[in-house]
Amino acid sequence: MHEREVILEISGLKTYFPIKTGIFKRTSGYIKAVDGVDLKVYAGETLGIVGESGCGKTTLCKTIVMLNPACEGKIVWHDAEYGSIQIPTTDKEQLRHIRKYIQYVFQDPQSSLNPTFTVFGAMDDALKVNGVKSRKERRQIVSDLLRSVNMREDALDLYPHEFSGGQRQRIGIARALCVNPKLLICDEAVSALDVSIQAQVLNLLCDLKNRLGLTFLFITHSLSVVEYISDRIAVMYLGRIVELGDTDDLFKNMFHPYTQALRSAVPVVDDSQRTTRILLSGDVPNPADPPSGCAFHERCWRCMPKCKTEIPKLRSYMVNDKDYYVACHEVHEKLKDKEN
Amino acid sequence: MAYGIQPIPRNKVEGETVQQEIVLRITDLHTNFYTNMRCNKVLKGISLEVERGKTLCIVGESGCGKSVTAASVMQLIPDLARIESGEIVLYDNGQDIHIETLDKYGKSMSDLRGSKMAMIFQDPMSALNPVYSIGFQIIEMIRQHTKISKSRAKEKAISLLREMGISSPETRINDFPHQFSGGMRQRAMIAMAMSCEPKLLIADEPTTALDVTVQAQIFSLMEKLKREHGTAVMMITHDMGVVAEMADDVVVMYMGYIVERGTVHQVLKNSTHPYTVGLMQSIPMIGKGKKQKLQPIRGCTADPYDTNPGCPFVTRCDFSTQLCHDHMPEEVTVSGNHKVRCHNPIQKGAVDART
Amino acid sequence: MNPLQRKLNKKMDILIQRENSGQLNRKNMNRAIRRALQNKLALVGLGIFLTIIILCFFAPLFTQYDPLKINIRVALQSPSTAHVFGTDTIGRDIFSRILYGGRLSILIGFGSAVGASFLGVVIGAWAGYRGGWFDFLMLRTSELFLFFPQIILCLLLVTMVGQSVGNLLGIFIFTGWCGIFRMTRARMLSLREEEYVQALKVLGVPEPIICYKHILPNALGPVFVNITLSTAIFILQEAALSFMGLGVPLEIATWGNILNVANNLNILKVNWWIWLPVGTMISLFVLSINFIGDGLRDSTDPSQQG
Repeated sequence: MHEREVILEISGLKTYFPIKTGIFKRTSGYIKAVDGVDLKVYAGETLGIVGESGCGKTTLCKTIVMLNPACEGKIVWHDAEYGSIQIPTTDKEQLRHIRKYIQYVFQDPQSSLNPTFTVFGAMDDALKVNGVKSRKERRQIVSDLLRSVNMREDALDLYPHEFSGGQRQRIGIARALCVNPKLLICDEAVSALDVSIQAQVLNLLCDLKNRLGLTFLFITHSLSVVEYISDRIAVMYLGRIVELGDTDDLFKNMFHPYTQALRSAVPVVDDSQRTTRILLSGDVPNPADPPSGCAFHERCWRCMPKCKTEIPKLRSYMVNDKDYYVACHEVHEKLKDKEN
Repeated sequence: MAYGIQPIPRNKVEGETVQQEIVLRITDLHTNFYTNMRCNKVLKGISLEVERGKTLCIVGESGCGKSVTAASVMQLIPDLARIESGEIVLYDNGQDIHIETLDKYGKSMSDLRGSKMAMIFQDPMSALNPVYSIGFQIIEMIRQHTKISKSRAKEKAISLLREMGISSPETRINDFPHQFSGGMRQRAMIAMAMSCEPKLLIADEPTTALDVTVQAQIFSLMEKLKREHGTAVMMITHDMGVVAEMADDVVVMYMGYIVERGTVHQVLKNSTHPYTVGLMQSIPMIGKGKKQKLQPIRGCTADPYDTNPGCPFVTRCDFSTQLCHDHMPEEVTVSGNHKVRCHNPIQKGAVDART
Repeated sequence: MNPLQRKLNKKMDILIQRENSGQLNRKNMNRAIRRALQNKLALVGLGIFLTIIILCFFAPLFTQYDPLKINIRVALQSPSTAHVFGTDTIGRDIFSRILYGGRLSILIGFGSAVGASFLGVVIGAWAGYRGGWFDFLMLRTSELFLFFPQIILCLLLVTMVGQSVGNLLGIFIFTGWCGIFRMTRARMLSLREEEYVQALKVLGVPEPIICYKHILPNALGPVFVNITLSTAIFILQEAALSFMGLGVPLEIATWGNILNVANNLNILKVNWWIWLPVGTMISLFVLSINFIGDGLRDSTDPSQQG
């Protein structure tokens, strides 16, 4: 196992949203959006986070950029020159670093750009904050960025409504890149685009990653997209990671029952990829009232008595000489037996 | 249905195209939208047929006119829009109902909606009235079209909800839409749509807003309905995977024209129109991982007000000729029911050689 | 087919003909302006409004009398060729008082509307964006102001600080910012969740700049419409206060001050030319502003067709 540099380390992260009821807005409960996540992100990789609605993938990434407050756990950013910074931080210097090195690309091309500002106006203030003093320099930077995302340079002074969805998404990517980040979080960056445009933007993202040496955290609900773009994949269910490993290994093994069900549910064009479909009963449980023990146990056909009471830990195994993580009691038992 | 692995027989055998009776036939439909003091020709001559017990998928991207096709059939287009020419004929027990002749707001049209044709939408939350219970809305729908008592209608609603897979329907019938999850709301909407046993069910991107596991549940439900009630389904989608799973027949639309149509095998496996081929090459297929090369279609859709006489795909097509710039191609038959509108349709060998 | 459908059909026929013949000579006018011009009521309102504005601000062209000049000998004359609207109790020409008075009334109305809107927008934007204790404090303060009937509050303040044009402006602004505050705050509450706001936060742009430079322009649409309607309300308020003698000092001509004499029953019954023209002028002006405001609101409403 080659030693790779860890740039982001998350341990025991929990993000709960309080539910306020009554006239005095008392907290009656919590929506457990992220319920204990451990994750290491290596430099230069694309880590895909896949899961369905309510699994907490967006909340997890928004907590990393401090758009949501974490209530427990640690997020640590490791920088080769600067050292380690804990997120969230109030120190001004550290905050400036985090805001520069971790950037975010949003999902909806309609609302991710301010309709009353030109393309240049959207990035102007961010560049000013990062110390680019002269306006001429700022305009030059923005037009270089536009060129690197395959857009015309004169798009600088146009308004968002004059662009198509795919073009707007590319402007959003340019905006995220204007501060020279090291880690780019793409939150369903292609999901709202037309199918033929998705390929353009996906190829652009891969190209940018190779050219600029970026690390990606790619959130999506589409298994085919995540398989195409990711080096490693994390599968999330109800606020926890249930399986994490190298892309090819994950799709070959699919240890966790939820991963199997998810994969089988994907409608495929190629007949050879069709698997027996697992139809899960019921719906995803309510994050405000999650089941005890393993969050999946009520819908799981391999449920054991232990699953109802004890939360399975995300344990690491070696698959193909690489780290592979699974959080399932039944899998732990099976793989333990194999070792013995 | 407890936890368990349910192998679903998904064998659409090649060549299995038993001709059924036609429920809906659209011939040369032109629909225009008038906004901003301009005339936008959204549909430029659509012809298609939906057969009993089969699913026709209309696939295309934004701006191609697929939703407008569904809206034209149901006459749900806004005031400043109209069907300019063409025919929409619903075949019902020997009767030919010409929908294009009916008044949008007339009684005959509102009688048709719900009883003979029903529609389900993409976002169930906005399609269901949030201030009335699900039961109220279904019962109202039933009593609108059939003369039965409230209690009989309530029984029917409960059995419908049970058929759609909603557990304990006797209690859930009094719940409000916000108390249902996304998948269950969609089932409730399907229950409402099926309440009067329509001949045609139009589904406008019914699962786009749902998770993929819930989508699988909804599709198995729709297959069951097709088998048991013989409903004809016209489904609108942009997802090729959904087309491969659900469709018996496929229609590919681009900027108001149907560019290719045929059975699902013909269109997906033997695609001949450059747009269809481009689409198939640009979507990531599961199972291929990083080894596949995504080939996006270059450029983007043209201005809808463009008056160029030629094929609208010409600016993005790698096989275009001068003829394509000057004349919109007519529909030619590739084989059997497989038709394409292209001057230079791609032969199967040519595609394989390219990729 | 009902008549509305027939009318729409005709309109659609014209449009398709124009499109087919390539005859697109009309430039693509801004949709809001085009729709505003189609609203007949708004156009009538605009006409009346402009007429009154021209009359008042170019008063010397329309009347040669000094509004302040007292001439007891010609007091209480009914309308004649010499005095178009007659004279008042101390011989001042009413027509010229209406015209010169209009300037002040309109200025007070418009000035208060702009000032109150400015205050309301600045406070409302930050309160809506940040929330927290500032929002709580401002919300309760605005509720306090709104509980009190505004006229009584103004009366109290006038008796405390004295009567003058400047004081009146100040009082109106001080008591009138709450409506716009709540409107701006409500818009901010929904706009702050937009993705471009989150993007700006992630980029490290300071919060006041995000709030006032980036989000606020999107929230201002309804505010401009509101300014026109507020002008009307403040004019009426000034008239009401001056009618009671507690507005602008009585010698200075404003519409409300002219009305002041109408609290005398005799004048009300006999010398109708003192209060009727002024009353009509106020009503016409306020009505015209309301028509324009309604037209603006409808034309900028994206959900309406056309």
